[in-house]
Amino acid sequence: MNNLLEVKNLCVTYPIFGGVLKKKIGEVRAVDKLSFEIKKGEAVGLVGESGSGKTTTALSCLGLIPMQGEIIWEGISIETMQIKMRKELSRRMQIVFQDPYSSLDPRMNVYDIVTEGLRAHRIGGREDRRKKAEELLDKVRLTKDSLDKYPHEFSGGQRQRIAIARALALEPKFIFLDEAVSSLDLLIQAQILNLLYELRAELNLTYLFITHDLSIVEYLCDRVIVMKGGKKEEEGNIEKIFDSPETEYTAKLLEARYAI
Amino acid sequence: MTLLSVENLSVIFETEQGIARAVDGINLFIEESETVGLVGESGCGKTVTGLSILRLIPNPPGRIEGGKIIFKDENLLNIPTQKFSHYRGKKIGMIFQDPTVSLNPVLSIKEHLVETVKLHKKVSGQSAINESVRLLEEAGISDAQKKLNSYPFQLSGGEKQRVMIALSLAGEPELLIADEPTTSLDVTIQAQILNSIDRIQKARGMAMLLITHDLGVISKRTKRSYVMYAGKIVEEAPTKELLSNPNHPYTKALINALPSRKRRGKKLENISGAVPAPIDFPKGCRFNPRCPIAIEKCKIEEPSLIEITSNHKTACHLCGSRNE
Repeated sequence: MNNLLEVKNLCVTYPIFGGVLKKKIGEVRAVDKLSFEIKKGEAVGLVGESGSGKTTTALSCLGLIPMQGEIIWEGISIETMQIKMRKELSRRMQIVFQDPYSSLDPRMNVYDIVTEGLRAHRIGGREDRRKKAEELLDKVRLTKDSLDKYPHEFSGGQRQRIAIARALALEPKFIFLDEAVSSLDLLIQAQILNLLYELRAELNLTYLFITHDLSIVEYLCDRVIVMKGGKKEEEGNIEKIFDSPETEYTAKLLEARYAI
Repeated sequence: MTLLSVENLSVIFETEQGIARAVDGINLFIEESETVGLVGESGCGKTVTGLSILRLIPNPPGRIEGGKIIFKDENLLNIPTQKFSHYRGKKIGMIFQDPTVSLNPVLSIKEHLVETVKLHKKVSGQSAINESVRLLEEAGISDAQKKLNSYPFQLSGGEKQRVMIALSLAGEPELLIADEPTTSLDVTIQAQILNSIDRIQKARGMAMLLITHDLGVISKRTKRSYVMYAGKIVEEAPTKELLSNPNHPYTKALINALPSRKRRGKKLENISGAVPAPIDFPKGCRFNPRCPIAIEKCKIEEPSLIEITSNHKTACHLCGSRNE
């Protein structure tokens, strides 16, 4: 069994409210019968234009929004999972969001942010958590004294490191990186990409990299899934998709980018 | 002929922590109908440069401390404020970065455009509306007549940016300052918008200062570029030359930090640290604390921008000596 995550016929709809009474008048299909598999240790890119359902896919896999379809984690469908296993799964699957300015609670200090997951899962005592938090900061190359600071004291790149430390706290196997470097400056982006690269090897992580930047996918990912209007447009390894795209949409995406 | 020349421009902001020298003695020029790039990371002063050309620096806390901005033999900094509206938006147009915040949410597209057209063209009534429709069409909005009555929230990001372009064209400017015009847009929309700007530029013979952090955009859209770091211009060259044969260690770092397939399986070349805050620039060369090749001299003496090969200027002690 080397599929870590399998998604079968995933459908997500968002209701549209309208009229005077704000009743439901229709729905949008954000993700429409999407199926894909991700092997252990892989880095997969998920690309497409805004509104193509990339983020919705990640959120529904994480159980953050209601969805239809089947999600299979390490061979077991989450519908058949016991509560204990669901909890275990929620540890092993984490996400890093796009905007480090809104994804960290400004009223929590770094220690609280990083160890929130540990507390929720009742892992370790107070001392253990402190030690764990220090280790995590070390992993993302931040100094120990950052633990008692608040998010506003950090730059965008440092905040994204904190967000990565938070994701790593529960020892995940799989991380969704939702445009995790898009809002960063080029040199800072390179620092974070290097960090993600190192962590992947060090901790044997699997990534689903959601991005609109095809160069990052080319650099970091083994395989790429192209989405359009909630559906899978094309899927394949980097060479296949980038050198000989089969669909017009992928070709258009590739043509539109400005690489040096 | 030189259309705009910025000479020794310095812009400061008085903050509680001290004086921030956001732009510190920069020189740049733009020829008629030329497209020039200005690249750099956040906080390097590129937007402030764009804003000061239009005298849009909020005062206080900001102030243009010194220098000249010569537009067709006239120093824009000496023009009385009342008369400056003949230049701002009329001879020099600007597109701002984020179209979602630069349009007024309570005004329709029609109100936005008609107001601007009336101001610049001295026309009224139906002819102002006709002109607005024409501008929207020129900016590449299909179904312009219908879109005229919509409000900003009803338009997509790309359409909003097209409205911004239409607005900036209303005064028939000779120079367009485009500050990150496509940063918040999808790649496909980005290509469309840049193509539209390109087409309009060719048709009107308009010059453009393209401010961006995206080296890809610079490489495809400009002939000549400036690289800015911490309030200074550190390198100036024809874009092709700049990207294929960069001199300054900062420019090199930017280019080497680009992810690509060639670099798969390797770590990206990495420069630690971040852009210094403008209240506390390091002594000497401002890049020296992050520079991989810095020597003692770099920490003391500030390098000036000198021509190293023809048309290629660099502000680095170590680049000058290499060619000597």
